[in-house]
Amino acid sequence: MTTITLDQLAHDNRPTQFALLNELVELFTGSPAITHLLVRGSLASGTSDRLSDIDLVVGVHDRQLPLLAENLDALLSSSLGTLLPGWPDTIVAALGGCGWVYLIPHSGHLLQLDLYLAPSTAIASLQQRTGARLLLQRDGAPCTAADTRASTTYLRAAATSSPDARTLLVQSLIIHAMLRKRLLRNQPFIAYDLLGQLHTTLRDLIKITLAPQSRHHGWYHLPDEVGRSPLGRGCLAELEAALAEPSIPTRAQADATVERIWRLAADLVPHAVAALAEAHASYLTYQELA
Amino acid sequence: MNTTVVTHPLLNQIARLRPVPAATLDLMRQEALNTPTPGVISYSDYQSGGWWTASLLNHSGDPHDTIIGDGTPQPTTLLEHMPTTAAFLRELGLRYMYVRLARLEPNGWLWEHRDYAELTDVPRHRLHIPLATNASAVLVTAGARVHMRTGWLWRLTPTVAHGVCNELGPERLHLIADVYVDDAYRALAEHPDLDLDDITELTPLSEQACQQALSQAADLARLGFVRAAEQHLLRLYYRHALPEGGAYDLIAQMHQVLGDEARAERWRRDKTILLARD
Repeated sequence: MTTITLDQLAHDNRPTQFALLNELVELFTGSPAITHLLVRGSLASGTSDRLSDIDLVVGVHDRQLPLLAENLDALLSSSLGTLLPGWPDTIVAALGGCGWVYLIPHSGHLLQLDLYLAPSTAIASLQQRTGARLLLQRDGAPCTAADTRASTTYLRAAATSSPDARTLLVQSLIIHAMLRKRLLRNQPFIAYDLLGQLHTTLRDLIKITLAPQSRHHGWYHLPDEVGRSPLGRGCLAELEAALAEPSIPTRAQADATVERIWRLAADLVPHAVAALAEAHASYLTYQELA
Repeated sequence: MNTTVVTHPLLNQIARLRPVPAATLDLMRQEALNTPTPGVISYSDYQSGGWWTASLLNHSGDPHDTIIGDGTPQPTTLLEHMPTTAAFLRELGLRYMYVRLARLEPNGWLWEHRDYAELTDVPRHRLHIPLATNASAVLVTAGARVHMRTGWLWRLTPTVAHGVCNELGPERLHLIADVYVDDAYRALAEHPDLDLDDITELTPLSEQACQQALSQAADLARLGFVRAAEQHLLRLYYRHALPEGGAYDLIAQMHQVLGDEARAERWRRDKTILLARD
């Protein structure tokens, strides 16, 4: 009797990530194209807390990887109500596929989903390298060399594509959400790194708008390329002001940095800002910044 | 700039009737958020899930009883814990048919439909008092998105085809009252208006965008995500001015292209039922 009660209590108090993970498993299991589902990270190692993200690996038949990748935003938006389009994950290690980060409203909060899409033929080595735990494995149709070539070609193209303004704005919110989590957990080194990524996001937003033909890497020649107009000089001044702040941010500083990005973006890329206006407003409400 | 208008093509479908005092609204919101029960979640063909109803005035007094019918309703046990809400309803002096709290979770969608199909003999209206909402929570009718902002008592004519969504959240929470038309109602509804800032006129769906949406939905269905494919097309209603039932037609078209005539036929039938064309 006591055991049953404790089990029930444990179930009732399980972190909300498990409820969402359950929905994800149900969703992907419904597609015959999906051959594997694996969970990585803290959920797999048993070290998760209520702030933890969901690290899900989705193994898909090689031939169908491009089709699923192209329709992933529509699938997750329709099925789970993602707040923003997926952000192409530039933080995750190269494991033979490609990753996206999503924010999903769930039980009054935003949960982070790190979804890694990998061709079936890459799953065995991925599992060996990461220790990911299997949730689903089933035989699909055999993959031919042509199937694998199709997924490889798609993944190579995805890896080399440059972000547009909309992607950079999404990136700013995702990185900000990650940063707030690290600050809550008192992890200054990771917070330092993420603040740097927010600054880079601001730089790239300025650069793709005011110097889209730039052939220079990163910060090189930025003042020369961008500072030719009053708007550009204003952007550089904002960027410099952001960089002058402490390198390990407080939460208020993190919030001010993302606010600065969106304020400048309203002048630089108004159409991209307008397209994401509702999602941005909802994001601020969830983060209690509205 | 004053953006309030008293003549507008939408005024027959939806309108603001009067402001709700901020202090009253805050107390009613507090009461609604603290109810001992969230109510009952309903599942049906005309919604995506995440639609919770808690009855405040009905015929049984049970807050979990969500049956709508003509007559004089009584307070449910829930309303007894909501003194400000009860006083607000009383002071309006209306003849109520049914009053409830309605919660719509993020990613909650009530697809295009008509209400009161079986209750057409007596004139009645639906009043909404938004208690908590967000910019992505909208009502769509007659090719326009209307954000029912808090601070107002709204009137909806639910016999006109409409849909509701809370795309991104947080939770949308409305007090909804179905009322009979009488002198008190006429006085309340004497000066309807709308604020243009709450209205977005939707653009028609171009042929190219239509083909693109159909193609993407068909891709999802081919991958085995049939429900997601259908929902992808149903959402077009909230983004584009479609002919009545247009989203249902597109789903039927998609299934037909994929060779699933049975599903295509089911959606044609559902369209007739949801839009009360029988």
